[in-house]
Amino acid sequence: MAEHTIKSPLPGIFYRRPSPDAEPFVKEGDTIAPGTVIGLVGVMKTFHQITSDVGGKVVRFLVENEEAIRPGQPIAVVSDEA
Amino acid sequence: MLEVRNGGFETTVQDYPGRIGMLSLGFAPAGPMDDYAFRFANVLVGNPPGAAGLEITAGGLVVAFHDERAIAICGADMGARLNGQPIELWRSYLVRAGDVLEFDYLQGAGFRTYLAVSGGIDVPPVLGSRATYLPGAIGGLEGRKLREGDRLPLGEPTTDPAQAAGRRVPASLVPAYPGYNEVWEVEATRGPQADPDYMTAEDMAFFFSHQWKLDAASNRTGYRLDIHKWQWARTSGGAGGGHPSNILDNGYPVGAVNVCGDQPIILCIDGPTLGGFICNAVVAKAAMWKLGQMVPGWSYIRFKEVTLDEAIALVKKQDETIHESNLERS
Amino acid sequence: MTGHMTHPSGVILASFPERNGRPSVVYRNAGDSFLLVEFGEMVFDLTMSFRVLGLDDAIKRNRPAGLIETIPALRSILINYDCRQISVRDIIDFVEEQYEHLPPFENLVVPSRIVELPIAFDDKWTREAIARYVQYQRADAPNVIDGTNSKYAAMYNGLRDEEEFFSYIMATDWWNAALGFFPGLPFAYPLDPRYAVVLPKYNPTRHWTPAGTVGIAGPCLAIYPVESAGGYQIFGHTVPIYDPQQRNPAFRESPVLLRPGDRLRFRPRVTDEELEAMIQAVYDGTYQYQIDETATFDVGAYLRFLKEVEPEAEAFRRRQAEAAARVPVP
Repeated sequence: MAEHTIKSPLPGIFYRRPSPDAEPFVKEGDTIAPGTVIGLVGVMKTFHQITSDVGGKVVRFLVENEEAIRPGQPIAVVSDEA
Repeated sequence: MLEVRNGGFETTVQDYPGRIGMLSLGFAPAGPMDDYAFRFANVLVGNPPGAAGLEITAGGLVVAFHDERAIAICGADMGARLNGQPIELWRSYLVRAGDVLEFDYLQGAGFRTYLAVSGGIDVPPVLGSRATYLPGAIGGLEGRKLREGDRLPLGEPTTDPAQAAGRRVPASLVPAYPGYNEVWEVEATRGPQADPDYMTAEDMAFFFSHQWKLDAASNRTGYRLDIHKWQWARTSGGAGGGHPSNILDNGYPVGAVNVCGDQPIILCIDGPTLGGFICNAVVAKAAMWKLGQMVPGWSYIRFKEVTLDEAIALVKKQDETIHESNLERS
Repeated sequence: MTGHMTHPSGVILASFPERNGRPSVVYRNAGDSFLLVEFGEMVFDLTMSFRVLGLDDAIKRNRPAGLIETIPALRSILINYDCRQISVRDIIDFVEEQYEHLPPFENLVVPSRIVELPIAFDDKWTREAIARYVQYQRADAPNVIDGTNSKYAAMYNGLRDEEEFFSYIMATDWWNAALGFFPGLPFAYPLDPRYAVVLPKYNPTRHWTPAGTVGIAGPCLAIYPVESAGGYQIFGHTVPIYDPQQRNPAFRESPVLLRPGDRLRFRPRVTDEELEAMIQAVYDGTYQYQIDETATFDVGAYLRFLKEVEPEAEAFRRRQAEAAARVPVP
């Protein structure tokens, strides 16, 4: 089993949900496919999707919902175990 | 011709000083957010300082060249690589047909970087300028940010690209950008609606001493700062409206600090040209470039009050600084 | 030059009292590139706009080097200047000279085009914007009744129903005192005080308004030139007033249709389908905007008209005030 860290290329505010009342994009323990959206980064009044480049299981999130993040900051850990 | 292989996060064609003389029709000037880096990039490649180049916001741009040109990148470090090899900022290089220039994402302080190409970007001027004005969807390439597949025409270089290459801006003239969570000092004069008639002297003292946090929802239109409960010199806005921040609509200076209710917003170069809120300060023209390198959601601003004469002296000094005679051969 | 005064805060660069029937003038510091010139007191007085536009015209005609442009508004002119070429003192002296030589107000005849615009009331675009507002922003907004703002507008102004409100919009010409905020957005005021409706603003402001929407806040009517956020009560839709692609002959010279000093006249009233066809015709170049290019506006005649209708205007204002006191604000 290998763990992959998903990083944000952008600074901004990290959101785990598409809108305040919606369910999170993914939860810890979910199994996801490559390309799955795991969150949004909001900056300059626009929102950018953060996707997982690997498939596997979401192990944990490293930043809270609505936390300010830096470019290159690790967002979540995904294990590629089937 | 410049071929766009990846438009990145937000890359636009800009020129300096942008679309001037159109405020009365509602057009903000547009142009580069950091005109210091933009103008120096042009000077490095032998262009007039205002020639059209690219503003690259937060990275991700990939372009391919189709002929021999001098290029220079000035501004924030985005780990630029030419044919896979890292290249330096604030320095001019020669590129040839088939060369590929890639920008990664932000590597440290700063938010925008500028690519100048000798000959300039030769998109058709609209209303006297090639600057992209996104809110009005005009200028640049079809009034929008660049995307994969775009092909940008280039002008004829006025100097030999091989001669223009191999020069750099001396280290003493390269600004050091404050990092994340650090404070930018921004020179500003009092604005038309300050104390004593609109704000109190205490309000203005607070304004010039507080470290204002730049909100993540800040862009080329406006830089939103934190909410503050002002004292106000008036109890209402009179004929302008109920709130003491209201006035009868008037023109807004570019770079004005517009106080909308409790929130100050710096009106940037794509900002509204006219409206009904007070402007208690105006960012000095020679300090506007700093806005371009602040990171939304992270940077702090402290406004340093300057007099009108001091602000004008800064403009003249900046013009003298951004000059070919100050470059070094590398 | 007499009357120069300087406040210690440096905001007021010069001020002059009322003289020979000419309103007082205050010159306010607006940074190293702008100077704000304000006339009279902060009260809503449409006739101030005629003086402002008369002076603005004189400034434009005799513009000294370094004076880039003027941005007129209801009671002010914002001047954009190049501090490398001209000093604020010289601009103040220049403007004062133009102001001194302005013909007596009552004798002013200013160029003022008449622009006729078709309008659809409570159209599908407006209803869509209001529906989104109710769904995503505020479900209990008192200014939304039956999915429109027009019933509220009628109540707020003491009018019978939305049809009477629409007839008021069509009964008066609208004086475009200024353009701005967004490209080509008019700030238009009713010339006939007997039909001068007033409305409060949205709270909170609307996230989305389609281009072409007609709205009012305070006494001011605006047409949204581009899709944008907005705070005005909205009740109608008209043909494009901004086309960055310049697809119709009316936009050949400029992507902005309107100018300061234009009179807007809403006619004919059309259905959604008719308007849709007109908008299509604008973009295929066949729609003919109805613009009287040579019309002028006689200030003296207008002042006599105001006097004539004053009793009726006063009666309407009383009716409005009584009604507004009974209606909740948003």
